[in-house]
Amino acid sequence: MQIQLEHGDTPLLTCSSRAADVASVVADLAAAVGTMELAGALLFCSNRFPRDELAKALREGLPGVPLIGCTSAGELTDRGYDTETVVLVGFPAESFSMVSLRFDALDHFDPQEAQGAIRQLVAGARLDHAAVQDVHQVALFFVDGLSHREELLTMTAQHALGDIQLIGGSSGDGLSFSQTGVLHEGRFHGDCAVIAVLTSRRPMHVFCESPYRPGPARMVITEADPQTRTVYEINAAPAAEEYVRLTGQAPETLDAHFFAAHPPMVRTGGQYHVRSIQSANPDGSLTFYCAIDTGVVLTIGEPIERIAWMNELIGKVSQRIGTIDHVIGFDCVLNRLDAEDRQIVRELSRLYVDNKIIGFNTYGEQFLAAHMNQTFSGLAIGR
Amino acid sequence: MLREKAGETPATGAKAPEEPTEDRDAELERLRTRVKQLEKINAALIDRVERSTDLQGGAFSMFETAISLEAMVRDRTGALEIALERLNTVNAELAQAHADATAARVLLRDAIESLSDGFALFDDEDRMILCNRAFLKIFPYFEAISDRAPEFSELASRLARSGATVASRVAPERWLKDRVAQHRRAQGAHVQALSDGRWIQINELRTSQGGTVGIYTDITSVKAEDARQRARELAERNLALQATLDTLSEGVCLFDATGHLQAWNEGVLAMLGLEGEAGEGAPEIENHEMLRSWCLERQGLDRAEALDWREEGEARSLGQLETMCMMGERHVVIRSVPLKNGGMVFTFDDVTDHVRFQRSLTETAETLERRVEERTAELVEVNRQLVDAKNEAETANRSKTSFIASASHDLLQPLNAARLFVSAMDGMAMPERAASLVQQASTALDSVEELLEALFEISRLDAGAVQPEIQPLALDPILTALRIEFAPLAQAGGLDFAIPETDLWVRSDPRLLRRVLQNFVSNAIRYTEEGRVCVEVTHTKDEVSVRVRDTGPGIAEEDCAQIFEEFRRVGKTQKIPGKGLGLAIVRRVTAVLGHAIELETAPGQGACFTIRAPRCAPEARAPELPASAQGSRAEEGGLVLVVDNDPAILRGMEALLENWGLDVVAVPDPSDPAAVAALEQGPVLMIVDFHLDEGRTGDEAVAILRGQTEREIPAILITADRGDEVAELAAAQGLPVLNKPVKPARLRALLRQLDVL
Repeated sequence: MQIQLEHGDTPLLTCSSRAADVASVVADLAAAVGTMELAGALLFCSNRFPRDELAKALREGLPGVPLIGCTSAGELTDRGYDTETVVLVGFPAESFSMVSLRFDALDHFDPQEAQGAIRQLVAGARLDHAAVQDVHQVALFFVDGLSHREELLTMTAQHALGDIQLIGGSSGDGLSFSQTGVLHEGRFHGDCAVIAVLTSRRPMHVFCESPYRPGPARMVITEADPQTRTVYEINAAPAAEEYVRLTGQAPETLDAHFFAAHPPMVRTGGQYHVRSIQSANPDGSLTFYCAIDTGVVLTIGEPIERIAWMNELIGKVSQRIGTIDHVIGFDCVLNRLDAEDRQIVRELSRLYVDNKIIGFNTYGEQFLAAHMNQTFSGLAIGR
Repeated sequence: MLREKAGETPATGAKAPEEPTEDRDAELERLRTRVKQLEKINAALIDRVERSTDLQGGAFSMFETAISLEAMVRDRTGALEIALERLNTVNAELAQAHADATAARVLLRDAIESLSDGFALFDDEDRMILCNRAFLKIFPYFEAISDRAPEFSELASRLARSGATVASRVAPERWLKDRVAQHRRAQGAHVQALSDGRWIQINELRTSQGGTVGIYTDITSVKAEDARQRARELAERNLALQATLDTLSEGVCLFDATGHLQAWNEGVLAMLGLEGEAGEGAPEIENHEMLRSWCLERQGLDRAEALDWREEGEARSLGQLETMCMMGERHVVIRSVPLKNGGMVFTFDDVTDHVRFQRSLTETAETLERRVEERTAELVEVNRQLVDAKNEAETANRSKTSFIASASHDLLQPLNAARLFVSAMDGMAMPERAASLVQQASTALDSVEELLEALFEISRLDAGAVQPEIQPLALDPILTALRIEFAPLAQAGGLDFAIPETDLWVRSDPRLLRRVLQNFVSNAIRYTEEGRVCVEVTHTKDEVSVRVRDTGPGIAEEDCAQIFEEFRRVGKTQKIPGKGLGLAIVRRVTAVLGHAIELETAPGQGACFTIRAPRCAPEARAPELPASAQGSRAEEGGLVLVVDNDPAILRGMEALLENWGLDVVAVPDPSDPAAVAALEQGPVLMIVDFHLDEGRTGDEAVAILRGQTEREIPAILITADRGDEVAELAAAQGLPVLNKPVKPARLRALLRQLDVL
């Protein structure tokens, strides 16, 4: 198969629906897609919709459009930060092609086998476009945000992808932490990951930045279970207590808002990275969104001025790719909570809308081989 | 685990100075805790540092690895450089290969150039990218343009325009189209005739790259050889033709379009008397005109038009023309056939012998025809006589039958009356002598009556008045009736008597079948002095056999045929009552039914009569007609209304019924006042004659009488008419019928059945 990709200038199709019921939602999306030929589309939806019903309506309402995506903890739509909606990003067939692959039963994930499958997918995508000069390829990645397997998956995938860069997010369920779903081949699946290779002659650029810098305090994890990502003791003291003491605050409740404002960070490879806390447990332990281990030295992050930071980030991105068509954003749910607490949602939303940022709030972001927390990651696509 | 480890770690050896103050104790405690914490942090860090070099890192080390992936990228850059170097090497090799390929192409070109056949290679866009000298020699037109890779269609249209091939001269457009299509298909060889007389065989094949390669071979010399070969074949064919002509018995001569003689055979020479005069070879006739005049003048041909020269147009519509002519004494059929090339063939067929033979045949046929006519007339006459005789016989038979029928009827009426009187007398007290006479008179009457009935029945059977109503019927009711009817008689004769029960069904007429079986059983009982009489029923798939077997005297073989004839009684049977008509009736009835009868017997061995009827499947029994004649139980001595237009019968009936203790009102007509009066008394029964005055019938009379009361008074019809019509009519209305002369026993039985007695 040879796919002729033109350097078309049809912009990406983006649409969202706030309708109450599934049928109306899908009708809205189908109306927006119309007769446009799509190589594939991403779909992010609030967890308020019954998944099977939504998947069925999508199969019937948008037949022939390969859809991938996941449930979210908030959406980035044409209104900026949004909730309770479904948002769709379509890739016009004239300038994109998309192939995808799913891994099920992540507890029995076999890295060797997975790498073979990914290499085949990539080789196929390469062959499809062998005749076309200067194509760009990126890999989009969606994984069950409650699987605790993101590190292994991300690393395995990026390894097999070679020089194709990976970007993606962990599915969310609006902070319920009960069940999330990843959309692939017309159905929502749990305990799975989907990887898609997107090919285009348009410029594409992936990025991952965190709006936090390390503070002065240092702490050591002295007791933890890496399997469940639970930290029992910090500095040989009960974890939650010691963490709060080091923030120097006295919160009424130890909740996501507090974690968002005071994210633990770890220094690796000369840089600090946020290791977010998902929840504080009754026994005084803390559960994280990402891999932890005993002996890891953490500091407590302090927020950077978000608006200026975001402007700077957008500036850097557009410098790389020229005019931005759209940015597919993977924005950590804690960033949104933090923005709400600081009352800058409105301002941020305007920035997102102006710069065509469409996406969802994640339970974690995947960038290249790493599973990140509390970052703003994305795929910027130019004209 | 870490916690335990931490716990096991021994406390530091530093000992605080002995100071009794509480502050110091507290301070000591705080420090100890702190130390413990630090020790644990220390242990965790040491563990972490140690494990950081482990290959089997946990999830967190994976994270760290991911972050330090940049290092891997650097490594990959190194690998890339190596790859680039390899690429360069490969490029160099490629250049070498390219040079080799060029050399190979030159070699190929030389090889192609050295071919004696024309060679042209077209690429996948159908441009000629290579051709050799031989090709340009065949098509010099291409010399000027062969260097600029012309398309095949351009080359072909050039040929078409210049009329280089024979076909392109005729229809250039069509040739061009066909040629291009042929080239597209490229499926092997074909031959083109060039206008300059050369023949070129073109062999085109598809290359693996989608192009076309063409080999052009000059085959002119081969073609010339072909032509010589063909001429040889033609000459051989001519010889064959001449040989064929010579074997024909007809004379044949063939002229070409100009009328010159082309071919002939021996036959024509002999027939036209041309033999010998010109010796071998050509006869003196050279053309058509000479043939014509020869035939007319020298052979005396009577019809000149037989040899007319016909034009092609006319010939096509008429085809072969056949003319019957005379040539002197001979009959000759001359056929003329125009040929496609404008020539003509004439054939001469001498049919003189044939004509003569045909004439003699015609004469023979005429003689035969005459004789057939004579014989036919004779046969018609005989046939007419036969028909007359048959008609006479039939008339005689009819008059005999009708005579017997009417005689029987006329005899039966008075006999009926006599019987009733005798029966009436039977019940009276009278002297012994008189009683004996009455008894003998009664027996004599019975005898006469039976004889008449039998004769009557035979006449009706002979006249064809009995039409069987063949229907599926259960055999058992018939056998049961026989059992009831004859058991007393057999018992009286001291015989064992057995009739089995059966669930078989047959296709037959119930009345006639019963008649036959009655006859068999009655005969058996009468002729058997001791032993037993039994009925046996057997069956095959299609047939049911009913056998009546007795232990009587048996019948001699020579008598077996006779017993079925009228009035034929054999052996010592004179003592036994009977008129010898029973088996005569049986023979007729079984003939009407189409059932077979058999007799197995020998003197002293008893006899066995068998009737065989077709078997059939049982049917649901039709519901029995409600007996409308069924009345309420009458009181002793109920009233009976008798209607008959014969006063003698009325009186006889009255006497008989009164004898049985019944009150009787006898009237000649249903409208009689006495009848009306009787109706008011509630009669228990009406006995009505079928044929009443003024053409009124018995069933009508019953209807009238019943109409005058609200009760369904039971009624019996009496008739001397034994036809099926009356029986059917009565059955349809549910009326029981008694035939005249009325037998008192039968009437009595019926009255009992109706609960009147």
